[in-house]
Amino acid sequence: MSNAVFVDGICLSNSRIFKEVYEEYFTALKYFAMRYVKDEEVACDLLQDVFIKLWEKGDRFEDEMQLKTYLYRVVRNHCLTFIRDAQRKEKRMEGFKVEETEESFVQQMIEAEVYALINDIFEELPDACRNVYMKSLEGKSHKEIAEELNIAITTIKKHKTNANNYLRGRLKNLMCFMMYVG
Amino acid sequence: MNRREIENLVVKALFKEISDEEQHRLDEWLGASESNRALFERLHSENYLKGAIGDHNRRLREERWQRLKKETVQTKERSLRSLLPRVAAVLILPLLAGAVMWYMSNAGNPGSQLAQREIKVGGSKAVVTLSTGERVSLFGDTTLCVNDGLATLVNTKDTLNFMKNNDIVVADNSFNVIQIPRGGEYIVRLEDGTTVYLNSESELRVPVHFGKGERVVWFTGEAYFSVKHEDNRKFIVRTDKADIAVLGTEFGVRVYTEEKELLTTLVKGSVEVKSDNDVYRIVPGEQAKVDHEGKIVVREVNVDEFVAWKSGRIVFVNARLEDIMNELQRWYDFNVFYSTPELKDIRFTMDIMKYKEVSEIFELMEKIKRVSFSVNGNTVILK
Repeated sequence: MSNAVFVDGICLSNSRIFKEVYEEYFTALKYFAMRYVKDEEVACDLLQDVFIKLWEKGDRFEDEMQLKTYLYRVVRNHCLTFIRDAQRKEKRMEGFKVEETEESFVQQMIEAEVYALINDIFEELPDACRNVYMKSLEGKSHKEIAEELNIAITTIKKHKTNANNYLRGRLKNLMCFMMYVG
Repeated sequence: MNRREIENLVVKALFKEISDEEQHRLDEWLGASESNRALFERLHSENYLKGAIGDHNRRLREERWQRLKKETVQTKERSLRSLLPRVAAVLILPLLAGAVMWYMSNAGNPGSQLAQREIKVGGSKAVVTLSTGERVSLFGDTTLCVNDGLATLVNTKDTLNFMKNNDIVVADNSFNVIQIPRGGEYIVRLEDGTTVYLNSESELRVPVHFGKGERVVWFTGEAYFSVKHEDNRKFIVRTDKADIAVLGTEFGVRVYTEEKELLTTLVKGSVEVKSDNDVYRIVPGEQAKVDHEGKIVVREVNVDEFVAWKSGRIVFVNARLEDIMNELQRWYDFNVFYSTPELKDIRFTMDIMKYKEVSEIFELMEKIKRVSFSVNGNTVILK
């Protein structure tokens, strides 16, 4: 939300700001919710509930930090309630135990935000590019990837150079932004 | 180290784009606790990274938004329900401020039962009538955020901002009206980024949303427009005497209904002034005068003289006393009596700061010409 201007805090009853907040946090919060409920569809439904409630309340937040912490907390509580209800209904989820410390909460936030940062960068790249990246993460060689994806090795190299250049640019911006907020 | 910095460092480290100095900062954080290191390792895991790289969240987010918006931003009830307490808060604040001021002014003059009205210097004041008919008073220090379901207005200090809203396109004829009383001035920032400085006794009517075509506003009074340039999308100031059409530029407009003419003074860019039977294009430094019959006369002027009010000055060049008093009345809000009609034609040239007490201006004028001012409450008698 670096480009938004909040003259008077973040006012969630403003439809423009509401949408912006939704878009900004969707990826991270979905990932965060999935740490609790595993299923993507369920996680998205829970997020939907949370956002409807946020809209109805139309709260105002002093700054982004306050909003962010609030969002994660609400999503977590909603997920926990969901699990508890489900546990009551179904015996099979009985084994699920929630360890909750303040530290692990913050760490989960970091994990979700890094996930969203990376995802955001790769969403800008073509699928072919992303596939190459994923295959090499599995430790596969260029040759193996070429065979699996049925493309030439030169194409793989091209994808990688493109992606690397792009990444470098984005990460540089990350640094700039970091100095700006830091 | 804040969380954002850690997150950025971690991402950079993952893609081996980290500088030595940054690596050093990261090592510090990793060394701080065992769980930091564990987290970092988790973030390096294949599963985690494959998810982060391959997940298609944009599409999913968009699909989900289509469902979410029907239950949130597109619901009418919410906006109406939420508006009431907000407007109430907005109305109560100035009331409260007024009560405190009244109390303090009384406390200051324990002798007088009804504190005599004095001539006060003008300031940031405006009344906004929303498309719903609700009226909101703004003072310079009111901070408020109003969302009437159609538009969002944010007021801070002396500026009222109409926030841009991409979701709801209302092509109806609803308007917001901003009125500036005597002794008031205000700055309004429209949703397209155009800034309008409004002088006392002015009225600006703006559509809740500009449509796709021309941007049109209705205006009487005195204002300075700094229009945001948009290719092929004109900005039109409609008045009872003429239309002023521009693409993006800065100009002053003076069109008080009780005055016979409209004055458009161009500071930057180019504008077209069009009355019922005449049209002229003027360049910076020129002023177009439109009379009540729609006849347009263009002349070169000292621009500063006509837009000085915007920067806190009032400039008169060889002006008649009556015109000067009319002008001062708008800002200081007082009544005038001339002991003889000849006084009205005495001419003055002066450049004054408009945030000064009016008595200082009167003293100055007494020194310039043979005229004397006696002030009684908020009435001024000239001899």
